[in-house]
Amino acid sequence: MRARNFTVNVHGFRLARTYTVAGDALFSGPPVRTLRTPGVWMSVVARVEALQEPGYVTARLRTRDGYYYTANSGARPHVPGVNLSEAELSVGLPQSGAYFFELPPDQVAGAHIQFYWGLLQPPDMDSLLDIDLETGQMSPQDVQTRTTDNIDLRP
Amino acid sequence: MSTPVPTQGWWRRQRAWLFGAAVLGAWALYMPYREWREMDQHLFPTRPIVVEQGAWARYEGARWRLLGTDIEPLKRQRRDDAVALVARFEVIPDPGTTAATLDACKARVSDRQERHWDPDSGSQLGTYSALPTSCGSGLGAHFEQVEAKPGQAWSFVKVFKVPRTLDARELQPEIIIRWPKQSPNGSFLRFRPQP
Repeated sequence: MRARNFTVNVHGFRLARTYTVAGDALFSGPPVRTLRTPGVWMSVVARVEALQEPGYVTARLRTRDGYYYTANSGARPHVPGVNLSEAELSVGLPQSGAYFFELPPDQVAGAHIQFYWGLLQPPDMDSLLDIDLETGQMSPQDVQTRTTDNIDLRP
Repeated sequence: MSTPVPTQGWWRRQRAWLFGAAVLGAWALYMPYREWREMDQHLFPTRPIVVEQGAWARYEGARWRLLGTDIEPLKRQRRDDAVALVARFEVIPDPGTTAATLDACKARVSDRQERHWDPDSGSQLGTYSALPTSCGSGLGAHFEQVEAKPGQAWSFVKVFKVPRTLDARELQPEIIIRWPKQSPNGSFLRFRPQP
């Protein structure tokens, strides 16, 4: 889908209870970390490209109840080159990766993902892409079945 | 029985007030618009000063020129679709122009479709240059602070990550000082690319 200054292609989403990421071994941290969440992790796999000027594309989820969940920052999970949040885009150089969300399991059904230009709130008088993740028919049981225990995000 | 007051007479008697109100109304609309235009020009400058190849241009209390551009592979990023464009500039400050004024500069490259690219960190892209990356100051050979001095040439480099498919000869390096004190608001230098 094309907006004023960017294009987005959503390839799908995955649900998980935990992520495994590389730790901060360089700073005496653990070599491997497990990221937990009180809800579920949703990663929306996408490809984004800036069209006219460099900058950032932010994503958020709009649930059936009208709540918004903005994608986690680039620090959680910290997977450079994969986490598209706060990833600076250059014109003509598309980036593939994922936006990561933490949300209650009962908010997955009926969620839409929205994309906008910039790092703050959706700007007035500018594009806001709204894409249906086609989860409207998912029952709580479907969500649970589709949620894997762990996704390993280490390179 | 009262005589009706002709409406035309009322307009004629109030014409001075009406004229004043119209002028004030127009002024009240125009001033915020002018302020918005000023701010817009600072943030999104639209008045390029085109500089031919090898020529010097006067801008914000200094003379500027493009020394040249090079294309290098990205050594630290695994992207086959991008290359590093290395642009080397030279600036000679006029008397009274400080390094801080020059350091406010922003560089970018643009193409004919007015798309543009901001500079990247050369170390992140894997390019190396002995030249500083700031327009007016940097670190010397012994890691001491060095600054551009009036009348002396100061060379610096800016590195951009651009799509490999672009013809580098069509990319125009630009120098922008967003809040100019001497040059017209919204102006910036646009250097013609090398043939």
